[in-house]
Amino acid sequence: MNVDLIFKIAAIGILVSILNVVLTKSGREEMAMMTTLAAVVVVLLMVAKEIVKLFDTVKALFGF
Amino acid sequence: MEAELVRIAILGIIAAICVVIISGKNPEMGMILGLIFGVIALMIAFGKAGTIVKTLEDTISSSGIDAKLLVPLLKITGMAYITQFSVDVCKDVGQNAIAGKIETVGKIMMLVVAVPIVTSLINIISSIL
Repeated sequence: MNVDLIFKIAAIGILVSILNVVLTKSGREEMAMMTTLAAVVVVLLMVAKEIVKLFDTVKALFGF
Repeated sequence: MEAELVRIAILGIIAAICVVIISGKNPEMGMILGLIFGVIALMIAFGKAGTIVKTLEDTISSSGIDAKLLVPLLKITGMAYITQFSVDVCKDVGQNAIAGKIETVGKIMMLVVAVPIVTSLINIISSIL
């Protein structure tokens, strides 16, 4: 099972929050917002795939 | 089995701490992290749950009960798991209204699946009378 996905997402989150702070401090609020948005989209894409996999597992297990 | 439980428990603690760390700066990433932990934990659990379903099917088929009565039961169990998971995610994000709607839809759909069982019960009762 791909447990390392949790750590991957945690790393992305921490990295993006650091980037956010650096960009905000250097006076680029809009850049910081874009970075956060892009990170959320990328992570959501990764998560959506896993959710589909989970629902498929449930469907196969309970004979939908 | 115990190894999986220990693994999930430790992973959950680590994920919770990571969520708290991340949520300070961007809460949406923390929510997604919690969501993916739920997905992975449930995947591991359902990967092991196949034996339960198999045992249930074997018992039903050997006891002479109509096998097609088990199908809606299993289906409703799966639907309940999916509904509960989505409702929990929506509640975590703070959208109680959407969570309530998903719950309602889940209940209606489960009732739709359950209708054949009810009709077969009514048939049995009417055949006795």
